[in-house]
Amino acid sequence: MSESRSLAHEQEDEVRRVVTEACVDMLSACGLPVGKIAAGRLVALSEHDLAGFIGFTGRVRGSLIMAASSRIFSATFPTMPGSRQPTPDDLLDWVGEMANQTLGRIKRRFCERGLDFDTSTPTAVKGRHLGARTPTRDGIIDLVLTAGDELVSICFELVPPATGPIFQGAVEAIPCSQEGDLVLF
Amino acid sequence: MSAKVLVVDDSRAIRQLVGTALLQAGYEVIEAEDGQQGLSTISTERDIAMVICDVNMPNMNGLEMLAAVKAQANNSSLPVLMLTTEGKADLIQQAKRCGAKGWIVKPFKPDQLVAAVRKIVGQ
Repeated sequence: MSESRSLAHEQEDEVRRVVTEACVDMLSACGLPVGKIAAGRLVALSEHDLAGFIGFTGRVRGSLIMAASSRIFSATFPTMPGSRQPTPDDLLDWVGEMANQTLGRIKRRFCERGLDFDTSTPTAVKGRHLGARTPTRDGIIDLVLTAGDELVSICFELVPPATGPIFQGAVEAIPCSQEGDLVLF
Repeated sequence: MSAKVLVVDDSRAIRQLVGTALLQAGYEVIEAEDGQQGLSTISTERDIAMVICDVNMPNMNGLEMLAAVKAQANNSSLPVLMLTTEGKADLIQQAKRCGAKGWIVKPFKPDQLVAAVRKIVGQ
């Protein structure tokens, strides 16, 4: 992304809160014991060999990257009794789906604050040191969460709107169903 | 003869999870990776009792596929259940107006999904 519009400090705090809450919610729903890393603590993310990516556009645009080890993604892969173990391709697909469901949780929270966006199709990559940190810049929120003995790193990049704050206090919430809701018509 | 359910989702993990749940509940399962493939499968495969369909997919999204299915005279009564990360009320209402049978926001519980399928197409 070429723009570098700044997030106002208090807006960045709120976006960070939303993203953290959504990520903790997602990882917890996958059965992981999730914790937060103290800000400023250095962590080694060299074992991150899988990462999911998903973008979004609208009044705000950006992307979400979720990186972790294949052990974590294997542990969270949805299975039922009798189903086969995931292949490497299954795991890669699941990584993208995890990014998708995490962004869905972020989107719901944004809608509660009156802001909607359109999500793209997720992708995923396998490699080495995918959680490596680069110097941060405005509009990027980096998180590292603990999941048992492992670490999950999240990078949420947001280009704010050209004018006005991201969350406008007087705007009504956009009605949304919650994760797991089922409605039959 | 088992009822045949078409699962349309670009995520193989979701297709596998839904498929396993439905197979274990006694249904026959076929799959498609996107709305375009789903539409093609509906036109070529016989005796599809129901469709479970994601919304955000490449090539053709689930709502577009739903509208296309309902526009076909011989498929207008085919039940379609949406299964998606989307939860906005206006999208849910749009699907309802288009003739969908229901909407589930991911993640889902397999037994909840099976119960919904049983309610829609029977055992």
